Amino acid sequence: MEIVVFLCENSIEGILTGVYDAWVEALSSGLGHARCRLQTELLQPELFCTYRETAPDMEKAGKVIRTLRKRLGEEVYECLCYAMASREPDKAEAVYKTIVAGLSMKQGYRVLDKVTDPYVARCFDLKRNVGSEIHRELEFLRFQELQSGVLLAKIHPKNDVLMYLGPHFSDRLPLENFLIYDMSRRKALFHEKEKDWYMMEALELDAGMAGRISTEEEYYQDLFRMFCHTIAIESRENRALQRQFLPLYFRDVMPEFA
Amino acid sequence: MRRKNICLIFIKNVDIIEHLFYYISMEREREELSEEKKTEYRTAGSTGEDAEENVESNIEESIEESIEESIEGNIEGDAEETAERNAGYGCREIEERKELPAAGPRSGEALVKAEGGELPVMEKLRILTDAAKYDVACTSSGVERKGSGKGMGNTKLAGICHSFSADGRCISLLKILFTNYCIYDCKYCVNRISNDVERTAFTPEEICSLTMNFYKRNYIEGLFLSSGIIKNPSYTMELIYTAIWKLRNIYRFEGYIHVKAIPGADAEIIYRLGLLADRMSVNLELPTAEGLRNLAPNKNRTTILKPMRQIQNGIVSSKEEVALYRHAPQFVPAGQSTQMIIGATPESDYQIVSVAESLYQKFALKRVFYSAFVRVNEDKSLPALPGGPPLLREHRLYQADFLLRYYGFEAKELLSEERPNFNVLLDPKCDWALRHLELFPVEVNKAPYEVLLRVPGIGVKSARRIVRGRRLSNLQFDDLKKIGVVLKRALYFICCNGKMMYRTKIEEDYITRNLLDTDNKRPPQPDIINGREVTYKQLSLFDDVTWTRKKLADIR
Repeated sequence: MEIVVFLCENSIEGILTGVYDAWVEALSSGLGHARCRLQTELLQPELFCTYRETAPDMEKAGKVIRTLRKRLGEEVYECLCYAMASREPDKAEAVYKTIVAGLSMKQGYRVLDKVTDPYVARCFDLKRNVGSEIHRELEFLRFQELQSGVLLAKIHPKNDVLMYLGPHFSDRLPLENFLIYDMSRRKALFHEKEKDWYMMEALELDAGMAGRISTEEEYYQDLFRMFCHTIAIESRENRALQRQFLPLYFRDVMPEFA
Repeated sequence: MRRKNICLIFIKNVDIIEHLFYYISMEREREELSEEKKTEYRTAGSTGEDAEENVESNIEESIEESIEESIEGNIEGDAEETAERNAGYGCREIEERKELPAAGPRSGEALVKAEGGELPVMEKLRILTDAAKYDVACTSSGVERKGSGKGMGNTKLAGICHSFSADGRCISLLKILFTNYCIYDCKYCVNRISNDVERTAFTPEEICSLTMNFYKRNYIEGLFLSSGIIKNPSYTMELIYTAIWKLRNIYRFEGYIHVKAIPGADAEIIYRLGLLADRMSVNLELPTAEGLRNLAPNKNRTTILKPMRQIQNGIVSSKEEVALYRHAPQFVPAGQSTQMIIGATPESDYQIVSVAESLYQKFALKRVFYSAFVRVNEDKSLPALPGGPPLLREHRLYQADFLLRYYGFEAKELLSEERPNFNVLLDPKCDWALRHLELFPVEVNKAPYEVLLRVPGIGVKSARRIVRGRRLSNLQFDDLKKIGVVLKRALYFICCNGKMMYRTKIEEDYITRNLLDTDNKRPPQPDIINGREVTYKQLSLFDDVTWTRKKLADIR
């Protein structure tokens, strides 16, 4: 009863390369998909398992992506991408087994309806979790205008959602230079005026440059603070409801609560 | 080749077609109204009338009468005048106008200077936000629009709530009044002419720069602009128009704009504003015409319903035009909404829900908003409300509103003349289910979608997932839990493959006790009173009391 566990890098390319390698192994060695597993990190070595490392490979990942988009459709592909951005340790396994389930069905785009499959259900949960975090980041992200005219935003999301904010903000602010900085992962997404958006990793934000905010910035922060404060109706005060919609851990980078 | 020529002909003649549609829709509507009146007379004569039908038809009649008056009285004159003016302001021409219309009124700046005193923007924002905060119709949903690349902004269909205020409501738009000067004296309003509050006005430039700067920093999703009434409604709307026109054309704002239409303004100015705004709304203020007469003597039902009808027709004809020619200008793409004050006048919940239902059916509104009455003025015609604003009642009305829109319920199923108010301890859906236990338990793997929607604990998304999931495999209770069904409530009403989750009696009192236990809402009475168990019927005794959250907490 040999189980082969593939350890992949914690990124979309890494996981999809892992899927490719695990698939090859499952079919070639006759083990079948049930005896192959995918993990992003070694949590606890188990008995009767062999562990294999896989390095991310753009070509293999590209092949998997093409197959997914063709056979399972864009909606399922988007769901899998969201699930892969999650921080849960079992995401790789859920994604791998969902792909197995999807490609074994005649109508692959229906795989997410197969709620009886525990891995599909887990994938849907992860997607829902990441999707709602993306929506809340879109809501609560705040830009500060620097003296150079660049708009700087700092976020610290629980899941790795930085990439999904790019299309929305570059469509919304095409004529602005902006930078969104993920403080916990040290990644940045930046956009130049009238150009496309890009991401960079392993960055440190220069505290001096980030501190130089423009003169009007304080003024507009004060205006907005006063606006939020005035618009509440005192006889309907309900702090618990406010906390339910706007959790406390978002509030440190929002000027109206800081 | 032929198709191209035909398209060219269409493009040149779109103005003519637009007038044609306007006339056709007016005609159709006149026909419909006369038909409805005919059927009403027929049913009133032939069948016997219940008390229920009486109230219903009374409400419908009053709305229809006001529509009749407003439409038939004025429409002949109006249609011709608007046609003439529209020929001058063809829709393409308005968009291409590079400067403001010369005949516009003076800006708010001149107005404020004339009244004396120029305040800093911070003070103005404080005063005018404070004046606007009782208008609850503040969502940024309804239209999905990508940016053009030459401006700033886009919109999302579901809307985005950028912040939440201390009272738990979402802040998604910059909600301000253009000015809080007002010539009307509505008793419930903080801006009434007889109140002594500090009055000020924005200039269009101030509004535009505030909106653009807040939007750039992702504080808001767009602008919500209302106003107190200066001079007359048309004059005020022209002022609003200058601000919105500047925002769209000079500052190139492409985000969400929600404009309040002021009843009594010219149809032509409403048409022009509708081409720039995403959503327009007209406040119904109070559910019945007499309530309006008592508390807002300057407003009446006819003048409020007329612009609602105009906006509705405009939306329909604009959609037809866009179907013909994709780049035709859109009129109010996110639809229409309205607002009612709850608790200021003695209407029952049944009357309010019936009015809302009529509005959805006859005016094709996107949403009706309910605002709990907050006592801001001392006035003898306003109720005292010792327990504070009726928040629980507002909550129940919103629940009923969702049932009407998404769950296929009708107002007469939820309430009736004998039960005109909502149950305070149970939400309307559970309440309906408990009164119709003969329809339950529902087999999850076989029942149609509409029946699944009616089960307490199953919402729209869960029902959809159940229907799609059961095609692939049989569903068990564990699967339902993963789907997101609230099993704590639903288990009394559903079965999977013939078996219910636990052995329960399908009996009103038993289920009610358990439901209230789950929600921790059971009043702390002993189960046995006077030797008999607590029954569901006894709950109706509580309906007469005005409940507030504090009172409920006291009882617990």
